Amino acid sequence: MSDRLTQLGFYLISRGYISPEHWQLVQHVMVQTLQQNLDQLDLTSQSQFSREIAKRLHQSFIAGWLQIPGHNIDQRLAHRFSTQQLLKLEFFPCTLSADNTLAIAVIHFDHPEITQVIHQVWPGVTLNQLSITKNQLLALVMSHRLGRLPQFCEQLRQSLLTKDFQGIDSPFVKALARSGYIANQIYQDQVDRQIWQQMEQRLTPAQQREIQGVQARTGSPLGDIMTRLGYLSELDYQDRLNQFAKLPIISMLVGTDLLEVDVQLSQTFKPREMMDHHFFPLAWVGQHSLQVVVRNPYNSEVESIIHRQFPQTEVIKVLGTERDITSLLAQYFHKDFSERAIYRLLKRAPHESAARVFTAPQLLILYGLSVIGVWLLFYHFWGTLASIMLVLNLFFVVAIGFKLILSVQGLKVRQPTHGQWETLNFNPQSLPIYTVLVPVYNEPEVIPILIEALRQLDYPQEKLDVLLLLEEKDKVTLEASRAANPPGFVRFILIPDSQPKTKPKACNYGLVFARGEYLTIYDAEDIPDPDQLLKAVWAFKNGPPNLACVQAALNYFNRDENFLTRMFTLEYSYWFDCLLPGLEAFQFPIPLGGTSNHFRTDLLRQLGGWDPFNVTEDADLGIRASQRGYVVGVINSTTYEEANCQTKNWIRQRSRWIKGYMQTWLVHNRNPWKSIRKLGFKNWLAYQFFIGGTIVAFLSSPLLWLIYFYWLLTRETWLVHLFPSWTLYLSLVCLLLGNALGIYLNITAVFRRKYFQLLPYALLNPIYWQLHSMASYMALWQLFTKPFYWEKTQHGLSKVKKQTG
Amino acid sequence: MVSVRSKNKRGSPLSPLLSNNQGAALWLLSLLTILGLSSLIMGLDWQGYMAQPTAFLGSKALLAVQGPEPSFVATGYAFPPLLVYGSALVRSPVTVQVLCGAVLVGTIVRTMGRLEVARFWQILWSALLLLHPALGLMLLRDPTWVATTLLLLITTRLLWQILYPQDLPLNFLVVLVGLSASGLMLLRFEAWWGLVFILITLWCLLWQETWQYRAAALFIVGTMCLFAIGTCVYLNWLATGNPLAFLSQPGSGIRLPGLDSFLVQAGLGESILKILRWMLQIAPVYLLVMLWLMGRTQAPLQVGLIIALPIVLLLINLWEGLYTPNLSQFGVYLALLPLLLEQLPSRQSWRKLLITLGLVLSLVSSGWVLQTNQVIPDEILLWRQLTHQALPELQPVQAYHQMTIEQRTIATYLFQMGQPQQHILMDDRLHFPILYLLHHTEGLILPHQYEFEVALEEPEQWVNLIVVAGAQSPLRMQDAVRRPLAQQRNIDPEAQEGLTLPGFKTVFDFPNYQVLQRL
Repeated sequence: MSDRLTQLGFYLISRGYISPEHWQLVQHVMVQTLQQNLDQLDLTSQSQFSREIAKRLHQSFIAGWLQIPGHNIDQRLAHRFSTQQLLKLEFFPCTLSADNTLAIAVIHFDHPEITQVIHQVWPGVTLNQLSITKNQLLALVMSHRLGRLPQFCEQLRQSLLTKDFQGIDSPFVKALARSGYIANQIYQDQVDRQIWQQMEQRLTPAQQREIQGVQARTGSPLGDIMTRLGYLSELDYQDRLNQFAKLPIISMLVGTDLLEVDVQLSQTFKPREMMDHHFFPLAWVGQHSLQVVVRNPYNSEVESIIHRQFPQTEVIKVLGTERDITSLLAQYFHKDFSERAIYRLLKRAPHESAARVFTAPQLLILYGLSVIGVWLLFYHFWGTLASIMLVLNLFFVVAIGFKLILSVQGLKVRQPTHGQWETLNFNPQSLPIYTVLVPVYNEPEVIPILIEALRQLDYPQEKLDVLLLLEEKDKVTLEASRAANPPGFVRFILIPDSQPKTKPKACNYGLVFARGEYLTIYDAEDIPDPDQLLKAVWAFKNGPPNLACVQAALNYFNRDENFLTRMFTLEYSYWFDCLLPGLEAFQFPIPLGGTSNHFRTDLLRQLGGWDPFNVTEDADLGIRASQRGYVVGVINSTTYEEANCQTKNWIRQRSRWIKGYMQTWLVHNRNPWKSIRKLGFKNWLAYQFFIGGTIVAFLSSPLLWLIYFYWLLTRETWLVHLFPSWTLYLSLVCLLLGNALGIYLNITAVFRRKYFQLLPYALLNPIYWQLHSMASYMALWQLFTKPFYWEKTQHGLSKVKKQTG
Repeated sequence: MVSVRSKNKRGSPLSPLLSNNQGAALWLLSLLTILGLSSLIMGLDWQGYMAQPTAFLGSKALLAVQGPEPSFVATGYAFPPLLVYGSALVRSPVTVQVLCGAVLVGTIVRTMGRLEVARFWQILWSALLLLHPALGLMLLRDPTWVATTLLLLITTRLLWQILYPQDLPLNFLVVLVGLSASGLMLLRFEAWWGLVFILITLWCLLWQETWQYRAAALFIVGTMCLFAIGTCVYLNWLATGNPLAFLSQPGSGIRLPGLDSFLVQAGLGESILKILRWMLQIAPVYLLVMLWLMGRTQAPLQVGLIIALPIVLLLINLWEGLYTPNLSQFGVYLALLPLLLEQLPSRQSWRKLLITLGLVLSLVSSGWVLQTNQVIPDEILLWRQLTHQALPELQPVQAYHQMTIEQRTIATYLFQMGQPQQHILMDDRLHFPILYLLHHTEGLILPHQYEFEVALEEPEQWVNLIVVAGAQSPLRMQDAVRRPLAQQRNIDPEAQEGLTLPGFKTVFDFPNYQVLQRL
């Protein structure tokens, strides 16, 4: 150890940070007292020791004293003394008050030499002695005397990163790290390097190159990289970390009765803070010490958070993995989280929740319109029917025009090419933590593929925070997930069994555990473009501050399986590649798609998460975001899913979507004037056409087709009454131009994707649209009978194998 | 390959005509064009001029809007459907004509303003183009050709961008070509044959792409165009039971009854020669610039195909027997010229002089063609009226003029007589100018109505006024009123004598029209 200290001393002296005399004193402090205290650290800790002394002598502890308003350290006072004096006598002058009392931080109380030195400077001054630990004193003196602490730390960091420097376990460096004067990361880098040296022999050259490559690109700690890549288990990592930190590991105890947890104590901290900083308070040890599970023993932020809550408390750390902390949070907060996941939006903004399907005024209007309709039919039968036809056809004409404009704009502004993220031109080292929520239910077969797809994401794995949202009772999927041996960035979140059993509820539950600055959702069968997260980060960093969400395109990997998958691909290509970019270009509200919507996590929380009572919670969230003044955009990246290949399954899925659209339309039309005020008239109108229009189109289209085919077969003349004069021309425009354009726009979307083999299938769209109508009527029925029922889509039916990467 | 793109900088300091506040200038220009065209058309109308294409569209629009029902039977087979229903939507073909004309003029001036030549040349060339009689006559008398020119301009520009990509994605351009070409299908029948040429052009333009991509592009453009053709065919079938009724039925608009005696048809080889001759006579500058562009590019075939598109349409027109010798249709080349000039750097003075010379030559030769009465009477009338010249003593021109006078006289009389209870029997398919001038359809009994046959059987009971073709009218055999009535009375319908009916007196007995009124 003395060799290492000599090296450090030589370095500091050669760079002019410290004089040889001062170094002697520093060394003296470290060898004589710091080392002594370090020996005791495992038992009592420095601060506990100092507090005990302060208590015994009825003196204040400096940390507590500084928290009193008006108390601070006047750096000018220390200039009156040499560094040699401060370090040798171990004191630091803090404040000289008007009543000639000097607050002074000391290790040894009533030291005669200190009193003498101070009185030489301020004769007759009264001393108010405050207890300070040696590390704190050292840090104070260093920061005061060196003055150039940031540069100093940078130099130190550089020296620490050189392989030949072996001063990692020097008390001096540890002290600087623990007192926060060297970033924890720097110290941990060095710890990781030591671990690397131990691990190097166990890794193949390819693995070594991979790890070093990731580190060179992202700057993440080696330990994190190795654990995320699966070359080092979290527990193993904790073991190795413990060789330096000398703290107990509790991983084996989590989930057993052996771990004593003070539930009331844990409730005093915010779960999000605990999740973000990876800690969980276990219990009080004595009156002033708090035992806390931490993942990183050098994260000084944990102490700050605890001291904000419990000043002057000694933090006794024990080590745990990220999964341990997640388990503890889930174990002790699940009721609270579950309730919040279900009722948060309903409590905060009941008017925005679909928990209530129809409001009283809506019912009144519905009944009113029905009565008027019946009355009109009774007295003006043909006139009323003709008027309905006119309105329907007018609606279709406007809707066609609207979609044409959107599509042309959408086709113009975007290209579905998948560029490399390197071209996105931002520093990969600045990448934030990215949370990926993956709600899974009864899908054990897709878990291994899902995990492989997640591994393929071109995002630093140590910055990935994947939450697998599993239903508590879904043991099959849970077992499959465990058996898949997921990498370190995957955490299992068990959703407590409760109603409604919907995806948005699971996502809301997962949101509590999310650590990422950004968050996205993938379904279990999703294969996102590898660079999707990077593109989303880029979009957020380059987007306006109120950009709350970006939606990636969805498409299908089994598109050539059968008629249904081909048509579904045509539809999705049109929706995500033409319409949504068109909506974005005009800054209209965007109803989000089922998955691959990327959020700013803080804004998502502000929005209240998803509505668990809405079966298209994503579409609802998109509109809600627009109403609150946030922007929703689209990104040029695709997630490939499994297209529904069975008609019955397809209709069930589609009925849920359309029911959700109905819910969303009803929710945001509870007070149309308010909606117009919030969205603006243009956006409101666009929303009416996009959400309301979809419902009307699917419900009315079969009626119009029926009339048409009836006329074609029978040539009944009474039908003339339904289409007088202009209505006939409008109907012809809808029939010919509407269908032609609908088909054409579908063609153009797959053309852009270069799915040439699908082009002729677009001609069959009118048949496919009838399936939509069937689903719409099913949705309408369910809206009245089972509004919150989640028609679960069966996945894994496709015979086409997914290919990741 | 010549880098056309690099020569094509927007907002260049050399394009000062519209460089400052381009948008506002364009709006102002469009407004001025709208006002100017409207005033001119109204002035001409005031002086008694009525263009046949405008009258046809106007009459069909009236029927669609006002009936009598079932109006669709009378309008469903009308060609071009896009303009018939467009006119019905805005209630007047003149509005369509003026709006399309304003956009066209705006586009011409805007394009000229972007040329990399000095302001003097921009203004001079713009003036020579806008003063060109072919363009002027087209804007004033033929909404169909104005709309066609506009779509041709868009299509050509898109095809050009496919050849020399700029900022728009290739897929998007192909999609737009499909949309604009499908519009052409609903405007000109010859475009149906021209579709093959468009597809060949597209195939050649995408020569760098895979064959699958090229096939897909053709599928896309072809599909939309076939949708348009299918729409037209379906409407015909719906209205008449014959999907191609517009080709044969009178009053479909593809051959206007008043002008069908001027129709010209020729074999393919002869057509090519004739077209070339007319091109050299009326728009030599177009051929000059075309050859110029083809000569300086590494893709002469593709450039040639793009530029030849309007020529091919004209060729098919002649080949199909739908061509009438009118100057208006050559306005297309003048309107497209700025687009071609945009692709042609003209820094050298001799080039500028040559273009100027070409434009002046076009202007002079077109004036000469008009002045020597080589075009249809409709245009001679318009030209003489615009230039305040007396009508030539040529028989066709005088006869045509006489016919227009008769139409106005009858329309005025019918308007004065037209009370709600007055029923007027006539064949609107032939006498559409009268219907257009009358400007309402109330009380009319027309061939498409169920009441028509009844009225023919017992005119003295159901009809107050009857309008039929006159004894010397070439249309008298086609008149759906005159022929059966003559047959009922055992009169030879071909005989050049007036029709008399018991219980009716003859109010007007003009060479082209006869009006009978119930006593």
